[in-house]
Amino acid sequence: MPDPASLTGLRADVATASRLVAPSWPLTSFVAVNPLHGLEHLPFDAACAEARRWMGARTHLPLTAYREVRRQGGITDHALRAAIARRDPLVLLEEPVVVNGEPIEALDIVLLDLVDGPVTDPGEIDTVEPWVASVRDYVGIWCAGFTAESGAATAMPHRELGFYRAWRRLGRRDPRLRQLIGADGRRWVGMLPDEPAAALDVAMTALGIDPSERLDVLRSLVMTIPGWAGFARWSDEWAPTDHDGAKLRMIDLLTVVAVIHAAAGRPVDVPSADLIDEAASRALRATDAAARIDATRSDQLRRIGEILGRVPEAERVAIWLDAHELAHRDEVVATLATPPAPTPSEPIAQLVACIDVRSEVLRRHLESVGPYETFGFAGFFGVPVRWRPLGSTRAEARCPVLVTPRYDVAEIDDAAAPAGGADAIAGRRHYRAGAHEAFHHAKGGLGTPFALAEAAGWVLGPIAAVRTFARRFRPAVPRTGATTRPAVALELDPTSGLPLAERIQAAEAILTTIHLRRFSRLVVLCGHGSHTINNSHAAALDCGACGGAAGGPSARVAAAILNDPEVRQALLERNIAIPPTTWFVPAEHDTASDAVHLLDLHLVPDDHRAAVEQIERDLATAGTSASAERAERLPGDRRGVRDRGRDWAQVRPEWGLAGNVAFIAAPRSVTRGLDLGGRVFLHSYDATADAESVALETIMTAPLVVAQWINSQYYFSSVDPETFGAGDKTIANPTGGVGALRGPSGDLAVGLPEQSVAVGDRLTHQPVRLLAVMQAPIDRIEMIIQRNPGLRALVEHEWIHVIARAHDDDGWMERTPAGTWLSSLSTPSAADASARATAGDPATMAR
Amino acid sequence: MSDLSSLTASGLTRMAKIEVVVDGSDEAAVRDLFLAAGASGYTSVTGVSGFGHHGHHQGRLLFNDRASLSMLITVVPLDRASPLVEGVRRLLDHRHGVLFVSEAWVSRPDYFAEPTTS
Repeated sequence: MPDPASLTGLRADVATASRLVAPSWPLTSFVAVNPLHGLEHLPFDAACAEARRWMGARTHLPLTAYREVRRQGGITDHALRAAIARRDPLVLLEEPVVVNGEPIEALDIVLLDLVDGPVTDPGEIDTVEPWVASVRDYVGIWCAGFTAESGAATAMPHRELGFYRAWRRLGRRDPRLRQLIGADGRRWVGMLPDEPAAALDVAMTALGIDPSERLDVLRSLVMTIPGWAGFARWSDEWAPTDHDGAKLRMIDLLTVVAVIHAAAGRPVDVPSADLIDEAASRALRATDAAARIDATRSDQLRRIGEILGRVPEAERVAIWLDAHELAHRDEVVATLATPPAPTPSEPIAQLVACIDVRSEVLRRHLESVGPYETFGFAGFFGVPVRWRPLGSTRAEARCPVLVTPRYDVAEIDDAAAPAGGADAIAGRRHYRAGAHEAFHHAKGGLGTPFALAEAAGWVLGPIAAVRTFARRFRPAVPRTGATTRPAVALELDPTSGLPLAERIQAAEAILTTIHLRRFSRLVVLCGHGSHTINNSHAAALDCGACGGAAGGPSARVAAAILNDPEVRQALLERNIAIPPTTWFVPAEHDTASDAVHLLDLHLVPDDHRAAVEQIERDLATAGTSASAERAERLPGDRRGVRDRGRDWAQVRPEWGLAGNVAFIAAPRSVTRGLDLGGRVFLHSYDATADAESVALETIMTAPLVVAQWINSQYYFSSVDPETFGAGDKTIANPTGGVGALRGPSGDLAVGLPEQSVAVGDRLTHQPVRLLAVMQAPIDRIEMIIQRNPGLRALVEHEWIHVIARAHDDDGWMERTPAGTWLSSLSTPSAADASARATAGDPATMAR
Repeated sequence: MSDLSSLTASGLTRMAKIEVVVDGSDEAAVRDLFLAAGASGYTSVTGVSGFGHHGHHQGRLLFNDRASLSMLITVVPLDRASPLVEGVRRLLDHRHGVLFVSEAWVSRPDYFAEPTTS
């Protein structure tokens, strides 16, 4: 009988080991997350070292890719020098190496090595041992069966007992297990304790693992099946309490993997921390550098070796990354130095869009069409609700995963609905939504697709043929949570929806955070979603602030709140006066087509209809311009850019958030009219109206964090698509509604597919860490960093970079990892920045 | 303590109260340890603010339920305390947080003696 204390200790080790992988959300609500989320308590470099060790991952682009960016002007030597000096200022104090009477500075020798030195980086370790691959395939099949969300008819028996117990009852009879562990192994499994931690303890003992080694062995086990482990971490820590699917627990998963190893008598390999032979690398690099500067004497070679010894192999790419980020930072700063366009004194309408980088393009073009004023706010508009559309039986969270939805809001029939009557509208939507859900459940299940093919193949075949040859055959159908313009009203009854106090608080939070105090007659709240078909990763294109769903419902809820007379009355007592002539209209921006649909138009007062028609026209014009801009970046036929979402053979309906580089929290007056290239998260913020820093703290602890998750996911999916990305989308095999496999079996694919960040070997996304640009008093920013440990870790461990200024006329200050603020950016020269702002990064770069 | 000892005579039962303050992201792990060690329940307080070894900790945030600290409290029979403490200590070897263990006197020991089945 194992010692109870030993078992709880083992459970704690499992929890610690699980931190090696990020939680992986089900594919239906794809949430961008930093793949190294569990390592954010470490500095970025240290976390990368852990990833290289445990995952065999590449954490930076290869040297050759950075060098190509330099050749194309994306990184200057000045930026490289600055990056070297920032990382190791003592290199500036090194005595120069004298060659033929000429002193050569240590900095220049390091630069020479970075630019022309030999490539000694071993890169990622992709090879998976055949045994590990076999275990991964076998366990993956059982994980898929266990987690399938296909309904009770095909649910795996015993799954209510948990994965280990269910597998022990059923998996033991699987002939594939016999191939792995033999008949004796299967008998041994039959004798194991039924409690997973106890069985894991027995397996550890059988493998001869000392308690002091357990944690490392568990980490290794996690990495034998990282995709499913990520899903297990989601189940353990993030799954909603009412999640109706089976929960794959980490303790169960690791127990099964450990038991198979133990039953087969296969030791668990713990990777070494020393992947790089530093001495050999340094000698090779020193010899190469010496030859390049004609240093032939042994003392010169020794000195060069000492200098290059200051830059271990792993730091070479880290310096390149720093330089790349400096270049991007200076480009952003140079852009912000451009005089912005004036804010219209009397805007004809206002539009509040999500902070998503794609909204920046739409806002810019709308402002160029006419005197519109736009704002940026998190796309769930501050109302953390679970949304149940009319006709659906499922309610979905519509808020960032950082927030627990507190209230349910459902669509209900509006008795006053026009034309055809609410009942008929509701009936049609019930039917369509029900059929839609049933079809996609059947398609996504494990066994049901066979029956679906038999039952519906006769009609789906011709439809498929028509879709293939006529892309405009039918519009893309929204997934669950349809936001087509229904003539139904929202239920916001205080007794069953959002209580009045919550509605008032939400309204105040929206208006205060973005400091909206001057109201036009029409204010559009514009969420966004991406309507695409035949896209396993469609949710990755939707709104991250809405938990990987389209933002139309959130906009509708927020607009209903802000149009509510009771709410407006209460806001008056808080010195927020919304004129009675102001009407809030919800909208949804389809980022695949750049069409903006105004919603709930049946609720608009008659005297606002003309204004609505005008903004509809202007949004259409802005959408056309935005899609033309988008077409420049997308491969293929530019003419059909707005129809790509309807093309079921199209693997890149849009670029999503590829290219994201910075997060700006400032008044729009700072950025209005500036072309930020669809690469910047834009949050409206006015420090002069936020004396208590409540809004600033909200922005820095929520939208900025979500942006960092998105940025990190794009970063790592770009630098190592094999480890951190989902691979080729064309062979993605959605399984049971929880994720996708790369082909018929194996591990769950996590992260973004290759087609989200690259075209072939050419990266579209420039992998750099997020730059947070804040316009607010430095002491307030620092206070918020200091009292929020999670945020502090992101800043001080260099997961994000922060620059700030208090006022428009101030210079930008840089927050260093050590907690100081530099009054002037240690930038490359002004000429560099200016040149780069003109040239920019290459449109694509080699990977 | 002599006063507390007399509580036994009053019909109260001595148990162990375990309080853990951890990052919100570690709350699930602590909850699992509580239940695995045989606790029949727990109390969870999210959005805990304070000051300590790692500086200030802001309390509840408007749009982030995960970033602040959580305090988890459970009461277990004395024989279950040691394994639970071992598990939490092991977790805190690698994560930020603090652990407090103290005596508690309860009037309905059966409430705390039956482990949950979940």
